[in-house]
Amino acid sequence: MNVKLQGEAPAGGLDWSAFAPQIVEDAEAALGSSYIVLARFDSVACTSQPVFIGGMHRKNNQRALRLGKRLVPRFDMNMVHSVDANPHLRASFDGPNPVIGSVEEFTQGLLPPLIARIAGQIAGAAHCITIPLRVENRVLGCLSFYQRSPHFDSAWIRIAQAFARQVALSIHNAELLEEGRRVTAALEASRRLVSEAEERTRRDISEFLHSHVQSRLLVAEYRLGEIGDVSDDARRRIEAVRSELEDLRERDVRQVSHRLHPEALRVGLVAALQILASQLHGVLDVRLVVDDALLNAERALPMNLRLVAFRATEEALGNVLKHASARCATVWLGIEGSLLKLEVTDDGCGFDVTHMPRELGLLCLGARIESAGGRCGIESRSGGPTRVWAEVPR
Amino acid sequence: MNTGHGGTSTTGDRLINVTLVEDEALFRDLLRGALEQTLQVRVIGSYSTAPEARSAEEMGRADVVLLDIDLGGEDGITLGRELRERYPALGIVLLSNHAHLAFARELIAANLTGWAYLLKKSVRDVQTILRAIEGTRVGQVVLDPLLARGLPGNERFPNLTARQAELWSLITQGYSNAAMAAQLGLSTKWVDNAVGGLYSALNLDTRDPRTNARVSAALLYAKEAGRANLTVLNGENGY
Repeated sequence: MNVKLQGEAPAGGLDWSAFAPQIVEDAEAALGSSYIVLARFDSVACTSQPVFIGGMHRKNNQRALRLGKRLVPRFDMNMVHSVDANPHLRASFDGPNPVIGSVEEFTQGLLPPLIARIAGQIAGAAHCITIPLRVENRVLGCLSFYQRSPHFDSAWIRIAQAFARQVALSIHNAELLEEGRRVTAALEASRRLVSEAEERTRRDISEFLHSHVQSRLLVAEYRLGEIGDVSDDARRRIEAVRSELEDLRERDVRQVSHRLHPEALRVGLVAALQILASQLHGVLDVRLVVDDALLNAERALPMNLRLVAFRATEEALGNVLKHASARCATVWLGIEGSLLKLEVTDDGCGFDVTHMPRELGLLCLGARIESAGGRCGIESRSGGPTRVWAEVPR
Repeated sequence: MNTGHGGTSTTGDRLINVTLVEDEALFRDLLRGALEQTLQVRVIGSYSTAPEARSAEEMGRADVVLLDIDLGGEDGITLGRELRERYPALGIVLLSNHAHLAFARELIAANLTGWAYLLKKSVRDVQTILRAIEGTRVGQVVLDPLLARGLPGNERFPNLTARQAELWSLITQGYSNAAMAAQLGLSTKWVDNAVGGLYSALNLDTRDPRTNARVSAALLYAKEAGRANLTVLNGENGY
């Protein structure tokens, strides 16, 4: 039985040329044939293509090739060909058994008979056996062995089949690795897209709250204040509504807006962190330490990098607040070569890193930084201090 | 378009021509109404977007522009600097919902003068806006009362007296000596002397004309307040 994975053959992505010469060389050594071809099948297009041809350094083969090219100028040993040119090719393509035949039979409908005769008489490649490279019911390709005699020893065939199975497994392994890399990259890309879209939405809502909603609430408060000519009781009630509105604007709207997106990031990372620090005033004493190089380069930092660094700092400070019972924290930001580096240290109680709780926040922080191509870590011990560090390429 | 209150002015001075750039129509109208009621200001143009403001010919006749720093995606501070390049005498009053000077860092770092940073909620006290308009018209730096309260955060000037700190804060809010005297119930002469003392406590060069020392004092305040919570190593930027 032969099942073809139509359309989604992962082999499409893998480049065989990296390991093809080694396979053919090993086949030569293990099976002792002087003329071996490794071919790759395309299960969708139903074609076969030689990937590597062994033994071409031999004089006979060279002579046959030169002669073939002179007589049939369009002759190309590496050309991709349909497997339906003749029944032998089709049988090799379908697998699962070895196919034996003369070179004429294998090249019928594909090459002029003259080429087959040259191969047989000059290169000594008159007869051929194809051993399928088969794994999980798929035939990835085949190894073809050529010789003068039509007889292929059955013990030799068994060894060749065993060899081909190992080759198929190795190729399949490489395919899986390649597929894994591809899937990981695709996942990473879509994750980044999703998180960028989320950030954009957050920014839009935050801007709307910040400029539109706040301004309209301000106007409403002002208009309420303008109402004159009312009883003292009505005045008191109007005042109460006005201060409700003010509270809503100053606390709720502002807080939500900032939590959604730090608007000051537009001005710069340092500005946004200063505001974060001022919001923690009275809860945690946050000192920002930066250098001139950072201040000068700050405006050139791309927005998503500012955001990553901001969120990382925010997460680290949030962690200090939750766990460290610290009085102050220092945030250091700097530029070293192509890296933006940051470090958050606190004077809190610290913890044993081997018993570190798997905090969701810290996990997200790690994922965020990794997706920006950076690294991060946390160092602490019981009694403190704790140091969270991150570095992200600019 | 308003044609102004020229004939009804009670101050005798020329009215101050201002333009407004604010994308929130209700707020823009409120601001315009509040300003016109003072009879000291004439609103000669109001715009809701940065491109409108850029192409407005009234801008060339304005003494001061009141500018929202969030113009629906456009940055009001950049627009302000652009307008200043074109009209070097134009005063710039920035209106913001952000109660932090970090947003004005670029102006502070460039030692720019003739600008103010006000919170939008200060429209409730139109005198605050008028002080900023008058101050920026003559090249001063004016901060919102909420951002210029007490000392500017860090302890760089520990030897200031409480009175000096108060004067510094009021100067930064755009008060003249006479206005400070009235506010504090002191004589102008006393305030004149005390301000001189403040300048030397702040190590400001008073050999320059007085207005410059005033501007320097306010700019210094803005600088100090703008670097709250911040330490800059190898500071070459004046920080």
